[in-house]
Order: sequence, then C-alpha cells, then structure tokens
Amino acid sequence: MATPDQTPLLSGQQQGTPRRIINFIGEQGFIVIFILWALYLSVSTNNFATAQNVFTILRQATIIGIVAIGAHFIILLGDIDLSLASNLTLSGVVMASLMVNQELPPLLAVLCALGLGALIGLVNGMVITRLKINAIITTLGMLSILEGIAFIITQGKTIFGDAIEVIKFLSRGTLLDAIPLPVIVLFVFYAAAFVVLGRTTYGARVFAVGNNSKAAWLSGINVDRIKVLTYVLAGTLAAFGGVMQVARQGTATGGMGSDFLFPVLTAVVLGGASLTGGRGKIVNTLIAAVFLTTITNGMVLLGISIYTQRVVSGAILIIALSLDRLRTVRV
Amino acid sequence: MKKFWLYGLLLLIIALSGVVTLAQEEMELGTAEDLEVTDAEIEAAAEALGEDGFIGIVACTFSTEYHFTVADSARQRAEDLGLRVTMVDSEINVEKQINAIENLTASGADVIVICLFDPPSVLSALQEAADAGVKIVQYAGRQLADIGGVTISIEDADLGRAAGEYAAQLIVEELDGQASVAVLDYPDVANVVVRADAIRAAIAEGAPDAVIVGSYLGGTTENGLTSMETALVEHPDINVVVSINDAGAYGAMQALQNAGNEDAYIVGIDAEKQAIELIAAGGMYKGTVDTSPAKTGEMTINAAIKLLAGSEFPQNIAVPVTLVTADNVADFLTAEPTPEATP
Amino acid sequence: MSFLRMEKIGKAYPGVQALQDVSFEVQAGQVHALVGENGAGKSTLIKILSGAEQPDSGYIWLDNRPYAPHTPKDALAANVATIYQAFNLLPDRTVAYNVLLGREPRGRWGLLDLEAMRTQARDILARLGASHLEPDMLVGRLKVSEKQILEIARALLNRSRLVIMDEPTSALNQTEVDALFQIIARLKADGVTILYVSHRLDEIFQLADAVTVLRDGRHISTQPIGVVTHDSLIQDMIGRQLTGVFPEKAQPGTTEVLRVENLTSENLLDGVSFSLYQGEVLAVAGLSGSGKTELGKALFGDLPLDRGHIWFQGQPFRPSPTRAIRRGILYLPEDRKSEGVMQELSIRRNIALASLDRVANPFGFLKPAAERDLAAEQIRVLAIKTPHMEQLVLNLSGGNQQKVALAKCLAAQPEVLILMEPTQGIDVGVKFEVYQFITRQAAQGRSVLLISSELSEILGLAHRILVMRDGRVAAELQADQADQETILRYALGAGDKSSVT
Repeated sequence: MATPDQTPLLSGQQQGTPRRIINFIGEQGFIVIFILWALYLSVSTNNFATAQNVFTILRQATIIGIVAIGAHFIILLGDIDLSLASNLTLSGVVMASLMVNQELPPLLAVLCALGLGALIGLVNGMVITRLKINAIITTLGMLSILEGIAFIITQGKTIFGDAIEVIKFLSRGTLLDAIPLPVIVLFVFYAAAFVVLGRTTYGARVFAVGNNSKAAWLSGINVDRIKVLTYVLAGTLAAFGGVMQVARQGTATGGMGSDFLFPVLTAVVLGGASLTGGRGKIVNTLIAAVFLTTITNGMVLLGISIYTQRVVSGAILIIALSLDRLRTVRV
Repeated sequence: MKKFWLYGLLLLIIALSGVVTLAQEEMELGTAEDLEVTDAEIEAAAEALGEDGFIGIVACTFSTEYHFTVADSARQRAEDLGLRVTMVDSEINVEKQINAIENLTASGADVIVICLFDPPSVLSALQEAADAGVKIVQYAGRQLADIGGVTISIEDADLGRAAGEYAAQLIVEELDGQASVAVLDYPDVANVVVRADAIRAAIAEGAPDAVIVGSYLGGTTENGLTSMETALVEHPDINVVVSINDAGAYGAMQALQNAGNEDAYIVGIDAEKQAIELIAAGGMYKGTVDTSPAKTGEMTINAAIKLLAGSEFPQNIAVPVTLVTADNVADFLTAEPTPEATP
Repeated sequence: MSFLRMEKIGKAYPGVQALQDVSFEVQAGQVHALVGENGAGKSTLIKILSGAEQPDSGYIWLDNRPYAPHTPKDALAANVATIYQAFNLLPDRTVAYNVLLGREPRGRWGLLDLEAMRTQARDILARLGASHLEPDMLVGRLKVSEKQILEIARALLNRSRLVIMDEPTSALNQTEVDALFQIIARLKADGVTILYVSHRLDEIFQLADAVTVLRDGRHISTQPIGVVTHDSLIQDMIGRQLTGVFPEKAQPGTTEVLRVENLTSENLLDGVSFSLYQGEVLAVAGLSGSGKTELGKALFGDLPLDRGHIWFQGQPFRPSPTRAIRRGILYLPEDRKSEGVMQELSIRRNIALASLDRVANPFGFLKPAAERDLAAEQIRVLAIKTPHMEQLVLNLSGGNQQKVALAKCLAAQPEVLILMEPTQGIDVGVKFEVYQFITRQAAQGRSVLLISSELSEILGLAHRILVMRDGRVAAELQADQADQETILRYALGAGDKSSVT
C-alpha cells in the first residue's frame, strides 16, 4: 500500500471519481475525439454512417493497421523501426516483379515477399542486438537501403501486368458478398496479436523487456532473442502489408510505401503506446489506425478543399494527442 | 521518408505552395528545332569542358517514371556524345537540392541541368552558382529567366489544357455534355497546381454543363485509390476522372472498377507505359498527355552543348505536348519502347 | 533545555492518517535519532519541519518561539536545514558556487566576487575536515559522500541551528560513514542540534544522545540512548516482542552444490575459490570495492569472467541468467528498484517472470489460472501486503517490493539463492521476515550465498563466512567462531593471512 512515506498520488485506489474520469480521458483521449468526430460526420454528411462507407474506411485502414501491429510490438520493446514502410515497398515490388517478369506462381511470389520481409527484420534485429547499434540508426539506414533497392528494381517505373490480377482477391474479395476480405484479415490479425501479447510467454516477455530490459535479462529472459524475433515478426507483417498493397492497387511502385511510415507510427503513438516501452494496448492501436483513416474520409465527405485538409487533420491529431497531457498534469 | 518530412513541415509547405503559384508572364518560346546541334558545336562543347569539367544533372526525384526518364535520357545523350556527366537525385527535398547545387559548383561543373520542384527556395543557391560561372539549364519549369538560365519545359498549363480539353471533348461527344467530373490534384508540387487549374478551366470552357464534383488528393496510386473510394461514397455518379498524372489515375480506375463502375472515362498526364497499354486495351482509360520525357532529356543536353559552344538560341524553349488517345496509341506502343523493369 | 518542541502534531493524507498526536522534545546541541518502520510517519514529520508540508493540527516551538514554516524558505530563514537523500545540487557548477548558492559574496558593481567565494568555500570545507574538496571542482564529478558534505557545508554557512538528516548513510561505504560521523561530531561541538533519521540501529547507538520511536503515525517513546537496547528499540518499532532477532540455524548438509575455482575478472576478482553445500548459508563479507558484489554478479553471468571454473551439482556451469535460472540458481539483485522488479508490471507477473515456461503449455500459451496460483502461493508464503495481485509493483513499499523480488526467485524453484544485500533499505519488520525466509530456505535444503554489508546479519544467519578484500578471499571463517571485529580485521587487511583455509 502506498503511504505518505512513499508517493500517495500513485495509488489508483485512493482517488476520487473526477480523477478517474480525467485519467480515462487522458489514457483514451483520442477515442473521445474519434467519437465526437464520427458523431459530427454522421450528422453533417449523408453517407458517413453507411455500411458502404464504414467498410471503405476499414479497408483503407487495413494496411496501416497490419503494419502498425509490428510497429506496436517494437515500440513495446522500447525500440522503433523506421524501415517498416520501405520494407513494405521492397517486398511488394519484389513480389510484383517476380510475378510479372519471372512469371513465378503467385503463391510462391507471396511467400518470397514474406520471406524477404522476415529476412529484413532478421538483419535489423541482428544488427541491433549483436552490434549494439541504436535501433533508430539501424532502421534509418535500412530504410535508405530498401528504398534504394526498390528503386533499382523499378527504375522509377510502375510494375504492372495481368499476373497481378490473381492476388487482387486479397483486396477485393468479400465474405458472404458483404464483408470485404481485407477487413476480415485486419480483425483476424488483431485478434491474433491480442492473444499473442496477452496470453503467451512471448508476449509477457515483450512487455518485460520493454519495461526494464536489465531486470528482464536478470529474470532469465533472453532479451536479444525476443528482440530479434520481434523484428522478424514486424518485418513479415510489413511484407504482408506490401502484398496487400499490391493486391489493392494492382501495381507496384518504388514509392508506394512512403505514404505509410508516418501514419503507422502515428497510429501506435496515438493509441497511447509509450515510446519508452513496456506500455501499450494493441486494441487502441487498431482504433487509432481506423481513426486516422476516418479523418481523411470525413474531410472528403465534408468536401473540405485538399489545400486545407492537412491543416484540419493536423489540428485534429494535436487535439487528440494533447488530451494525453491531462494525465500528467496534476490537479 | 520524404513524406515524413513533408508532413512534418506541413505549414511551411502550404505557405510555400502559396508563394510559388505567382502568375507567370507570357513569353516568347523557342521550339525543339532551335536546339538542333551540329558536330562543330559538340566538339566546341567537349573542348569547353576540358580535362575536369562536366555537366551536372539534378533531378527532382527518381521515383516517378517521368522524372527518372528525363534525367536518365539526358545522361544517356551526354554519354553518347562523349561528354562527362554526373547525376544527383534531390528526392523532392529542398535541403538536398541546395546541397547538390553547392557540391556540383564546388567540384567544377560547367553546366547544371536541373529540375526545380520548389523554385523560390533554391533560386539564391542557383544565383550563386551562376555568379560562379556555371551555366544553368532548367527543365520542367520556367523560373530561371531572371538569372540568365535556359529553360526547357513542357508548359504545365499546356498539359492540363490538353487533358482537360480532351475530357471536355469526350463529355460533349459521348455523354451529351452531361457528366460528374472528379479532378485528381497534388498540391505538394507547386507546378502541378497550374496543371489542375488548367484542367478545371478547360473543362468549364469546353463542357459547360458538366459538374466538377470535387478535387481530390492524387499523385500516387494509393492516394488516387483512397480518394476515389471515398469520393464515390459521396458521389456515386462520378463518370469522368481527370488526373494530373497517370499514377493517380490508375488508383482512380481501381476504385471505379471495385465499385462496378466500368463505364467511366479516365484521362491522365505523363503517357506512362501502363497508361498507353490501358488506352490500347480500350477500357475506361481514354487518354493521356505525353510529356515527352526522353525528348526533354535530350533537349536539355542540346541546350547545354549550345551554351558551352557559345551559340545563339532562344532562352525559353517549349517541349512539344502530344495527346495520346485510342486513335494514335499505336505509334506510342512502338515508338518509345521503355526498357523492361528487371530486378 | 528543549530546543525543538512538538505538540500534538497531526497530518492526514487522503485515506491515511500519517501523523496523530505526535509530541516530543529535542534537547539543544544533541544528536536526536528518529526511527520507525516505513510508513511510521518519519518522512511526513521531516516534511513538516522543513516547511514542505503543513500540519493539520498541533504546534511546534523552536527555541521557545512558535515555528510554523509554510515553505522550505521559511525553514531556512529560521536556521533549520534539511539534508535529503536526493541532493539539491547543481551538477554542472563548481563546489564553491554550490556551497554559496543564495549567499554569494558580491564585489564591485554587484558582480560575483569569485576569489571571496573560493576562500569562503575553502574555509567552510576545512571546518568539516574535507579540505580535499577544491572550490573549483565540478559537483557532477563528486562521489555521493562528497555531495553530502557540500549539503552540510551549505547548512553550516546558513548558520543552521537545527540540521535534519534523512538516511544520510544509505549510499555510503564504511570509510565514508566514519567521515560523516566525524563531521556530525564537529557540528555537535559547534552547538548545532541534529535530528538524525536512520534505519541502521548500530549507527544510532554510536551517534545519538536520545532516540524517538514513531509507529503508525504515533509517538511511541523518546528516551536517552543509555536506557534503550537494540531489542527494546526494535520492539518499540514493530510493536511486538522479539525472541531474538535471528532465527535458529539448521544444520547444513554435506553435499557440495556449487564449486568455484579460481574465478578471475580483470581488476575486480582475482582467483576466488570456494564451495557451497546443500542447506548452507554462506555469507560473503567485505568493504565496498572488495569484490563481494562482483562475485555475486559473476556467478549469475552479470559480469564477464576472464578465467575460472564453476561446477553446479557436479556439472560444469557457464554463467548466464537464462542458464542459471534453468538449472535452479536464482539471484536477488542489489538494486531492487531498477533490477529486481518491474515497476510497471503487476505483482502477479513479476512473481511469474522467471517461471513463465512453467505456467504455460508447451506451445507457449500462458495458463492464467496457473500463473495466479503461483503468485497467490508466494504472496501467502512471503506475506506480501497488497489488496490484490494485480497491483502494480510501484505502488508497494520498499520492503514489499523486496518480497516480490524474493518471491520471483522462490517461484522458480531454486536450488541455490544468490542474495545481494537482501535487507538494504527496508524496515525492521520486513528485515526480520527476510531473516526468517533465509533460514527457512536453508532448512529446506536450499543453499544460500548471502552477500551483505551488515555484519550483524552475516553473523546471525550464516554458517560460514568468506571475507573478501581486493578481489580475493581474505579469510574463510566459521560463523560460530567469528565476531564483527575479526571480520573487519580481515576486510581491512589487518588480519593474519596464514589463517586462510
């Protein structure tokens, strides 16, 4: 029990109701803003609250969401991976190129892409744990290398061809003629991530390493192995995002991942995961990914000029993030 | 990465895009013929370069087909003629471009062939280079007249007008003048804004009864796809899309196909290989405007040679604009074989 | 004559009555010790005296005048200085600047008179017997003990008549403690009254003239040091009768569990060899820097080894935390807060952390019920005081955090426990429970390597004692034939080397 000898403000049991409401808003502040934004859109536009639009939003959130799972795991470790978006690009480009130019069977090409993503994660993990090079530096370098290789492969051109048609069902397929396949993929992946984090020894160890890696190591946890595993997992997920993106746009380009780096990291941070590691809820990352997509969706529906869209989206993000301050400001 | 910074410098970019849309004056424009070079000029140019001199090419980016092709054909042309050349990618990053200009000047470039995506931010760096005696050839823009540079450019207004006029023609001829039009824009690049304005103006003039339901973020396939998916929620009747480039138009096409709207008309700009194949296939992709990147690249080197040789020629030169439609697509399928993208 | 008099002081925090009707007097020019368990109200009382908190009720008289500071500045103005465990020093400034902060001598035009600052700082440090501290040294480079001297110097400069010291020796080694005691003696000789808060009863008997015990926010006793004993003080603090501080030791077994030969790590360990038997408590004593901490770390893989061999249960053993825990060697780190427990994880998860594979199925899926059972059993066995096992560890008191760290070791079914300073910084009641824990583990056939700086607990708990000095084993003693003086003699290098077995 906390006593005045220690720090009385830390114990949740001793706080009144207002404090708890403020804590909730502080921790889940972006959800409050999300709900307000959705309510506003439902009232001011005709088409926001339709099944079609909701599925459109969820489909658009799929790739950000899937890559954000990997980013979330790595941020839980207290690291950061800036190379995920360019991993997505390269894996997608390699897969498309194998299918179009080498006429590889689609399944094999997809497996090659996933393998490549895993390999990139492995290299990141090994460099960070074995050579003890800071994660930001390592993955920033990796980002540059991967973009460069993607550029060498594409020569600045779009890769396209009928061979890609085969995997388009990943983006366009539906279940029972109603629910888009990517939406199902998104929820299945998040359900799996939830179980892995909360119900497996691996998940428990990820939290432990992020919380205090020295103490985790002294508790017999092989910190390096957990880190490498996590980078491999995140790399594979990013590559899967690349597969989904090629299926979605039907082409592959050397710049197709660059639009994801910022939203993916924003989703994780907006979801409340601590950049110092050890704290974060995967469900919040999913909600944040959907929120980010809804911001753009709503502005198009509202007919806001594209010249002002960024200002509005920046403002919404700042408001959502600044609610976080309520938690740390003592009243 | 570059997107990351672009987002981060949100306000700055918006401020800048306001600055660079300053009206451009009407000017006398030369043509491709004015840039024909003679063997004597090539020899004189090689002599002017001497032992250490070279031509520096500063591209806007390597990650779109157009920009890469211009820069690469310029390099190719120079190497074919035995002129030393160095190529740099600015990655749509002002800081990188300024560094590139400074580095090239310092290492003794005689000519800088450059693409400016944000002219006001780099003009002073270019002025310094010009003061140091470096000759400047600008392509894909016309901001260098004041500092005595040569400009070789497709007029963005010409491109937009060509696309918009063709779309208006389709609306009038095929749709009895009635249509819901979506324009795909990309306000990050100032020159593109000129294109989008010209597209809108040409449609308003040529098909006054058509309704432009909105301008949406395009530029990349993913942006075009996302924007069009959302736009279709609000305006399911969109049946004409005009895009400031082909990449964005592909995304719009995906979205229309996904929505089961196979009867729409799509017009893009850039004449990328995929767009040409789509036009040839006869689907909803109806037209694209050829920006002649390879030709532009060659013209930049020709201009560089004339500058080095001291020849007289017009300061501002227009690159020819060609509309590609089902009628003439066959020429483009064979005329400009793009090398296969290979790993 | 009483210098400081408190009358019926009360202070409540939400949910806790921190102080209630506390009245006692401190005589002028004395060293007055204040003791009590964590949560007894010591810190609250210090905060009130230093102006950081205001009492809800009661009066304070200082030198026969009412004293009610509203801010720490008020307290300083009344010549009351408080020296906390965490220092209020500017690490990037010089010694002189820090000592004279707030009363810098001014020269012409109001500029700092740097020469006068140096002279004044040098004078005051000399008065404290700390002439080795140069006025121009950067404070950030100083040792903890030296920073403490600066704080005291600052208090002296303020002509403080009452100096409050909160656990001043908790981060000091023996030599530094001795130096501090000399300084306290000088302060006392200058007529300064000192209120001295400490967990270490030995120090109190050495230093104090009188001692006050607080328990659960109430005043229990104030007595001259001459009339109290070790046991009576502990009795007052924990409120119950003690039948001797240390439990009865069980007879150790004869099976060798751990054998260490010639352990060497550059500059830290130099050819350390010993054996540990089943059911034995083997204590390692030594001054700080003797290598005793490093020995514990090395056995668990937290310190690289250059040479040497370890056998565990007859098999060669190469230390690493993962391998050690798999084979039943568990380790309680010295730095509990940053290495022993995960502050932001629940008690349940902390306890299970070293045994995750045993509460999961073969595919790595956790069995929540098994994890809860494991945690519940340890919470019961170690009497961890918490409303529920989902409580975050950061909400626990130091003693309970230590119990969680021990619970984690115990849950992993240890054969050997390496315990580093297991009672450091925890209050007397929990200390007693840890003693019982250690003895019980040994009685159940586990072997304990007890690395400790407290000679009384070494003598009270261990069967055998290794005394280390300069990275070597200076002596191996049977506990029943050793006393504090013998151990210290070997630790200081004054012992007879021929007695090394």
